[in-house]
Formats: sequence, C-alpha cells, structure tokens
Amino acid sequence: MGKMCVVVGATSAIAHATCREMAKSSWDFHLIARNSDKLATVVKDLKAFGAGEVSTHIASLEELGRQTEDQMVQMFENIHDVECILFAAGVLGNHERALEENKYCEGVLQANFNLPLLVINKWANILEHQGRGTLAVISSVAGERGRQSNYIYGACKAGLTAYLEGLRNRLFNKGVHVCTIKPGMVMTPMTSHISPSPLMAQPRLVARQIYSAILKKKNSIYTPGYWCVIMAIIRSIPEGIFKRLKL
Amino acid sequence: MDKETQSWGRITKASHRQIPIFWQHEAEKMIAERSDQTVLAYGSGRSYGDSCLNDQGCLLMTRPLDRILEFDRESGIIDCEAGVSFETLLDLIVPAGWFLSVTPGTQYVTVGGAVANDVHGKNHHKMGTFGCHVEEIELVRSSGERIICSLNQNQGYFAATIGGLGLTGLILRVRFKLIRIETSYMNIETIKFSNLQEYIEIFEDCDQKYPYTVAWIDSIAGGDKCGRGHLICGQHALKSSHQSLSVSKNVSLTLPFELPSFLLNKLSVGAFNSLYYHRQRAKSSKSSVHYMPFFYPLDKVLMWNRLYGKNGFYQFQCTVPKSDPGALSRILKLINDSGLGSFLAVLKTFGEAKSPGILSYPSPGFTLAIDLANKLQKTDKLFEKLHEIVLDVGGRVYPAKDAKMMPEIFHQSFPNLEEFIKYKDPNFSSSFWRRVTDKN
Repeated sequence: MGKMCVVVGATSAIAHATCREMAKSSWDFHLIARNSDKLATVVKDLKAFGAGEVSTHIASLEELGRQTEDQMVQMFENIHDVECILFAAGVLGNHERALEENKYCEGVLQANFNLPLLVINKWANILEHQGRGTLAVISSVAGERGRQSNYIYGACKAGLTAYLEGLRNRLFNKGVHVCTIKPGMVMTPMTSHISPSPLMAQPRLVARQIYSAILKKKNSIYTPGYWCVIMAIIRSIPEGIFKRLKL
Repeated sequence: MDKETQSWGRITKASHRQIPIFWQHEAEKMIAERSDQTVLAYGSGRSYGDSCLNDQGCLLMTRPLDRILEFDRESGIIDCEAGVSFETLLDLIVPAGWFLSVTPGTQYVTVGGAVANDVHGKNHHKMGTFGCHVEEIELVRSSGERIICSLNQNQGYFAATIGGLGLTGLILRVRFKLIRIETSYMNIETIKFSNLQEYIEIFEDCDQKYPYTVAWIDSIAGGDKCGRGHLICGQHALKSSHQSLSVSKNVSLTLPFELPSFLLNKLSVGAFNSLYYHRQRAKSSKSSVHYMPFFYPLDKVLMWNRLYGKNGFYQFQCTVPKSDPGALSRILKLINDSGLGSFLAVLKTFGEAKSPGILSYPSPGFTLAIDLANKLQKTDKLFEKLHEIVLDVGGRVYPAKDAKMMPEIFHQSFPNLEEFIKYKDPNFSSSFWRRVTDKN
C-alpha cells in the first residue's frame, strides 16, 4: 500500500498535474470532484502514471460542506491512513459581475472562502486525531494585496491564507503540517480567457514545485518561485502610489 | 475573439477564433457551436507552413487533451488523448523501458499532430512512419458522429486520417505501439563524407547496419564539396554498456527575442557550416550519448525559430527517387547558388515500408529537408526552380513543412487524393488545403 492522498477538486488542472507527479511515486488516491466523466479520465491517467489504489467520490464543495460528522468520519474510515490532503477547489469568477450582482458575489465567496474553510475546519480534526499528515491548500498570489481588477477573489484568498497560518500554528504541536500554496498565473481552464503572457506557467512546472513542497513540509510557497520576488515588489509599493495604479 | 496565430516558420500568420478543448466529452458541442466557420485542430503548431492554420476560421486547441488513458507496461501499447506531447510520453515510457517506435526531430509535437502528418524519423528505412504503429484512432466529425477506426474497423477513415492533416475530423484519442529499450542511451557512429557522391556510396551499408541514420549536410559548400556532411548512425544501447533508463531533465534555454534577419546570411552560415563539418577530424567516430541530443538536438533551445528574425523562414522537404541521384545534386546546387541555405540541412533515405495513410508523405527515395531564409522574391524564385525539378522527376513535397507548393505538386505527390476526399469532413478546412486544392 502506498501513501494516501485525498484530493478535493481532483479534476482541476493544478490538482491533476500534482497527482500525476505523486502517481510516479505510486501514491494511492481518494479523488473528489463534481463531474464523473472528467474524474474517470483523470483516474485513467493517474493509473497509467503509476498510481496505486484509486478511489473516487463525486461531490460538490457544497455537498462536502453539508456532510454530517458521521458521514465525514465514515469517508475517512474507508480510506487508510491519510498522508496528505490536497485542497484545490475554487473559482476565479467574473470580477465585474461579482461587483454588480450580490447573488453571484455570494457564490464567489462561498466557493473560495466559506466552503473551503468549513470543510478544512472539520477535516483538520481528522488529521489531528491521526497525529500526522500534511494539509496542502491552494491559495493564490492574488491574496497578497488587493488590486482593483480582482479584489473579491483576492479578499477570499487573503482570508484563506490567514486562516491557514492560524491552522498551521494550531496543528504544529499535533504533528500535522499545513502548507499554503500560492500560485501566480497558471495556464489552466480557469485562466483560458486571459491572453497568454511570459508570466503564465505550465501546470506541470507548478505541480513539481507543489509536490516538492509537500515532501519537504514547506510552510508556504510561491509557484513558480519567481513570484516571491514579484510579490515582494508589489507589497513594498506604498499605498499612496499603489492606489493610483491600474493593476 | 480573433487571435493571430503563427506556425513554426513564423511566416504564415493567420487570424482565428481559438477554442480550447479541455475534455473529450465537450468536443462535439464545441465543434457544433462553430457551424458558421470551418474548423481545424491545432496541437503544438510545429508544422512549418500553413497546414496547421485556418485563416478566418476556427482553431480547436487540443493541448489540454493531454491525458494518458491506458499504458500496458508489458506489451508496450499506449492509449492517450490527442493533445499528449511526445515529451509527456517519454517522461512516462522511458523509465518503464519503452520508446517511441517513430519520432520526428522534436519531442514537442502532439500525438494528434503525429498522426495527422504521419510523421517519420531517422529510422524510416526500418520502421516506416508513425502511422505504421497506430492501432486505433477515435475521431469526432462535425456532424457530432464519433468514429472509432483501425485496420479492421472503418478502414477508410483510418487510412484517410493518417497523414490526413486533420481534415477528416478532430482526432480525440490514439492507441499505438511502442518499442522496447534496455537503456536511455544511444551508441552512435558519425561518418564524415566529402561530397554527395560519397554519401551515395556509403548510405546503403549504414542503413543495413543501423536502425537510425540521418545525414547533416553543408548547404553552402559548393563545387566538389557540394553535399559534404556527416552521416550519423545510431542504435539503442544495451544493458551491457549502460544501466540507466533516465529521462533527461536538462534545462533548456529559450531564445527570448527574434534575432535581426541580417545575422543569418551566406557568410555567417557558410562559416558555421565549415566549422561544424570540420569539428570531427576522423573519418569515423563512435560515441555514446543520451537519447535527447541524438533525437532532439534542437529542443535544447526553445523558440529556436526566432533565430531567423522577423521575416521567419521556410522549410523545404522533398523526396526524389533513388534512381535519379542527379536530381538531388541539381537541387543542392540550386540552393548553393542561391546562398539561401542554412545550417539546418538534413538528408535521409526512405525505405519501402508502406504506411496505411492515403496522404502519407514518405515514399522510397532520398529526402532532403532544409531551412531556407525568407528573402522574399529571391526565395520565391528559388522555390519555383526547386518545384520544377521535383515535378520533373516525379518527386514529392511534404505538406507538414510546406508554405509554397502549387496545386500541381500536391496532386503529383498524392495521386490518391480523390480517395481521401471521400473521407474529408466538410466543415474541417485549413489554409494549406485551400491553397493546394480549389476546394473548401
């Protein structure tokens, strides 16, 4: 039996690419996603790349959020010792539409902040009870500083990043590690409407860095790594100047 | 939203609506929604001319269809989505002791593209084309119909799709066979030859001894040095000499900007070619290298096509019958005289292996592939003369490289065109197709 990774949002490009890297080292998987056709294809790919046992669960983030304590415990009992939980659910959403339609805005907040937080809240207890494991959650560089083109999504990710810092703090003495992953721009279906630029990274490059971070138990990573420099610059711009920019 | 797309030669630019296909089950819907325009699949865009472009039409971007569906590590059969690149395949198959049966000179092509152009490699004389190793293709037509084709099922579609330039529909999935390897290394022998005549004397022996043979030739040297070069022969190294089945992860450089076009001219290229020819002192030299530099020497420099500057470049690849080596000589002399040759000129022999593809390009003979600088009218005139020779000797020109051929050459290269047309999808089209036929 290999090491077990539970993946939320398994059909997302970054999650799938990361699982592929893990599959090469024969990890086992419990994959959770909304669409069964897509998930079936991902399972085939991971098996071809060397994955061990692969089980699946079709569920949306809302359904996971509504799980009772019993249902959650049952789900984890059916899969053996969890080495890693990779949380990759979220939507970029349309910023202009979120500004105008409250209902739509609520959906963006739910998908990127409320639901992930509620689910991770409960699942963290499973890992704490186990006394070991890594929780790797995909946040974003967008959470580092609110900017006019993207601040609703950015606010969600900022909140998520802060939540994960606190969780990392709480779980440190319990033998559980929390890794915050902050990708920059990655070429995925979520960004397909954005014109390609040299800053757009391939999912497989980002995936290798995420897998490495999980293995090395990094606290938080930017991926690709050069975003560390870009964000340091962005953060250092005085607000008096930043508020005039059109980023 | 229309985007400008280029092919590898960076000459033909065309304007398209680009529609990415992320999942197989979305394909029918995405194609049906575009019924007002013709469509064409676009993989990695490594074709040099306009066979991967569909000006004013729609391009179905297939790179996201990059999943492996099944890999039988015992039998070496692999089934994957059409957007999987050869690079991804090698990453998976090499550590498991398998290699591609046929590969072109870059690993950045997609499986769909390899089928659509029925690509060939250094081992054509032993293994034929990529299509010779394909077992099954799944195709989606603009009607929404899915067709699974093979040598035993929907054979007409199978034959039309291999080498069919993406015109029979969207290739979704391909199943094909790999070859066993013991190590990821190649034993190579490089033989220096002083002109074309000498190449003709030695190639047959090398083709018999080695599964992989290709010659680099100096396209600038003239007179009695015309056609001088290195014949590079290779075979997979056995476990007795090496132990490793590694995929090379060497960092590649990217050419970050295009070079000014005056940098590549007869003098600079001539000088480079001369140095390169003489870098090997001995007549024959043997060595052992990782498969990467043997099969994919140019992949080390990403975006190397920018070397040719903003005017881009053409690739001319033709085949002439072995019975007429004089034709090859005349072609080389024309290129020498024009001064438009570059450092990338490759000569190979095609064997007798027959591909199942109707529009498959390789036919027995000598094939010359050469980059030609785009010096506008000068290059146009050269192409006219080159095409005259090819027409004259009953030769062929390769669509995957072409941006210039006239309809007569296309019809001569592919006499079974009418058979192919029966299987062409009415809603799929390309700039190339419209250029060489009077059809849509």
